[in-house]
Amino acid sequence: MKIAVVVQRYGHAINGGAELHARYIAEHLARHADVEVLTTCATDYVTWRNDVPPGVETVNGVPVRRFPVRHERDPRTFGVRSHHVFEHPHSLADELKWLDSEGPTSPKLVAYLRRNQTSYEYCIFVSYRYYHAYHGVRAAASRAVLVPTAERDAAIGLALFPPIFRGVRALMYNSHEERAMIQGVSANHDVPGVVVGIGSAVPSSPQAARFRQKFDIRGPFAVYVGRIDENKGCKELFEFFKGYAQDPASRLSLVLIGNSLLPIPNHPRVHHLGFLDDADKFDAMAAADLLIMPSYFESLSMVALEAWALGRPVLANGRCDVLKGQCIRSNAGLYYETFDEFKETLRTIERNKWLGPALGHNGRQFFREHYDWPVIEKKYLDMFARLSAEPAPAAIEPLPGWFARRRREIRPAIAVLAALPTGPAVARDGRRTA
Amino acid sequence: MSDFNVRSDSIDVEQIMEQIRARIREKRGVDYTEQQLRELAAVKLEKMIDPRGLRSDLIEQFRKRRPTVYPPLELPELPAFDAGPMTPLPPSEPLRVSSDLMYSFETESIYTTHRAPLRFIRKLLNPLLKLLFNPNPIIDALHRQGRLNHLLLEYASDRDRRLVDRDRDVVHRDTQIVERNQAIAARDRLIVERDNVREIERVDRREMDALYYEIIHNLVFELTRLGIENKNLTMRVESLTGRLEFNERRARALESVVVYKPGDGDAGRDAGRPSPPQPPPPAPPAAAAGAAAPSPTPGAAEGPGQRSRRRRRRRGRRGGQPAAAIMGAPSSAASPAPPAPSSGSSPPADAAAAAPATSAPDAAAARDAAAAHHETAESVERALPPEAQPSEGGSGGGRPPEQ
Repeated sequence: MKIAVVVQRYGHAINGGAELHARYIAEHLARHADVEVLTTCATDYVTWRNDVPPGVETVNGVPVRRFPVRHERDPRTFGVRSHHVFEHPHSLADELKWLDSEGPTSPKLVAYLRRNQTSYEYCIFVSYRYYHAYHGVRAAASRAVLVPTAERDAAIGLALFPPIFRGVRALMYNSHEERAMIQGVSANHDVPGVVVGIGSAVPSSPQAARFRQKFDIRGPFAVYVGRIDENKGCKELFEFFKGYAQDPASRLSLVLIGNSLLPIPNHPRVHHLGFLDDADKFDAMAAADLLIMPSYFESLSMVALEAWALGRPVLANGRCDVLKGQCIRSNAGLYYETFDEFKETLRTIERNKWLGPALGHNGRQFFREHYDWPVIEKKYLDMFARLSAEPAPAAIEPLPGWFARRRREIRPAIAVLAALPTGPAVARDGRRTA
Repeated sequence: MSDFNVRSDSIDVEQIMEQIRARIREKRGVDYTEQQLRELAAVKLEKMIDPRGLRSDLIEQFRKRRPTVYPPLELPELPAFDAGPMTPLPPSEPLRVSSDLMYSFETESIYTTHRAPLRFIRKLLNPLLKLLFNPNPIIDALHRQGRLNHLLLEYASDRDRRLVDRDRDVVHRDTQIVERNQAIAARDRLIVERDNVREIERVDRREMDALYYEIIHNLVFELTRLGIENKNLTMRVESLTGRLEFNERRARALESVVVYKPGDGDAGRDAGRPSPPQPPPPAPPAAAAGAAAPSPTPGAAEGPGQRSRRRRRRRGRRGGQPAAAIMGAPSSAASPAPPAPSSGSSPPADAAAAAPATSAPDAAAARDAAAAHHETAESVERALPPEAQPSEGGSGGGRPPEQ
């Protein structure tokens, strides 16, 4: 069985969520199938500049075939088109232009896929919203398995994507909330789909004391791991934590791990350690009292899963349906929506010493049951077996004609998004649901 | 802080979150809102009463800053606006068309002429003309146009006349409005002046209020200080009263010792007489003193009679007998004619002291009583602390003889 993993960026140094997701899938499925990665020469997700040469290379034993990007992203054009399609009535042609400006525009990758699709039994497309996934699925719909990694943002409301969601062979969702959202926007209930998520290579015995000694971190602390960006909710986190730190009874510090796009507050209890390697990162999470996930938009928080795998509780932003749903289903984390809730939940975890380990215990159990790699791999292989047994569906819905594509009758994407179901999927997976 | 009622083996995140939210709701019921906290933080704290803040020149400033009373500002009355209602348009008058513009175009008009032969020829050739074309529609149209012209001319002239009338009214009304606006502007200027004066008054009032506040503040301070001083003085008076009573009691005790110090009957009899001061006797040797003095243990030397006499003496002191009355008893014995004012309530000791003067046959009994009283007085003297012992200036005791 030969499988293609199609993703916008790929490499060791690329730590974006979807890209890491794709690499993990490729490397783990390589144990069961012949896997090839099709990707672009870009490493920067902002410009999509061709940083690495095209051709084939091997990354961790997996062959990677790279294709050049035709043009870099123009942030101004992309911003204007995003504003237009997200907030105004528009046409399908406008959305296609938006997709082209978003990138990574690599027609050669799509052409290669169209020519060589018969070489692969299944093509796993990662991240529905990019050029490669949209045109790649249309080029090889009969073999397309989509890992949407969809977040609750306006792009999900574009009219481009429902035919894609309905036209692929299967969807590998990251969470129940993501599945409910995609089914709500595209009504693709007939398309096979399963909530899979992603595993993580968590070390069995992280060295918490080594981390404290190396970085001179004393006392209890909460850790944030990821890009320090306003879009990730870090600005709100800083404000909330500074408010929490005013409580004289609190002793908790905040340790930030990751590259920062925001100014770090000059506070004696806020420590920014920058980007750390995996060993230090896991040591930090093992040494922490809890992990804070302030992001508003997540399709699956791998960091939260890693914290649970290490037996640490999570305090998540409750306005992110996925995180809130995971906290509820796992019984391994609390969530907040306001400063009062942030303060009270953090204080609860800090003062009730038994609560953190108990939540962490649940998290570890949750991770083992649903996100351990054997479980993930089995879900993929079961899906491939199911698809092999089923006949291929009809061809994907074609694009409308020239005039229909230019008819300005599509609602703004944010209006579509607002009409989608919200809230966490309360049906618990884990022990309570299959 | 109340902990959760969730057992660690049955954690339910939703239940915990419900408890957290309930706690937040409870706190919000008690805590101030952010707005309230900001308002509270913005409140300026009152100064504590500080005597250093007192100003010695406050009265002077208060006198200087007496509020200026400005006379009320008289505003002129605005002129009455008597423009009245707009003049209604007069009804349209009937058309009056001047004769030169009035023309009528009839069927015969095209043949009309003042030359009769020509009129005849036209009449004659009229069938030929009608053969060539039909002039009737032209004649009819010109006829209608002539009438229409008349109507329009009349209508236009009538409307122009009415518009002129209306414009005249508008001009008159505008003139009145301009006059009124000028009056309003003048009134506004006066109002501005009045507001300026009032603003000055307000500033003065604020300064006066500040002075009033300072005066009240100082008064409160003074009252508080006076109250504290009053309380302090009251306590001192009570203390001095207590000391005075104690000293009076001690003085009475010592004076009674002085009165009854002599050991024999003559001394008792002479005790009330004036006598020159005598030098103090030499201190007796300890052994002699021990032999002559009664036993230091009161019980050993006292008999039942002594105790009853001492009780009577205490009752006498409790009765408010002043020391002067006690001291006056011997002198009354020396001159018995005017009885002492306090003799009516004289204690039994007074009776014993007065006995020699009143009844000579009872002198022996009086001497026994005096001797017994002397012993009792010595025992009282010993019972007093050393610092309370009077310095004996003469043989008779601490009281100088009356001159």
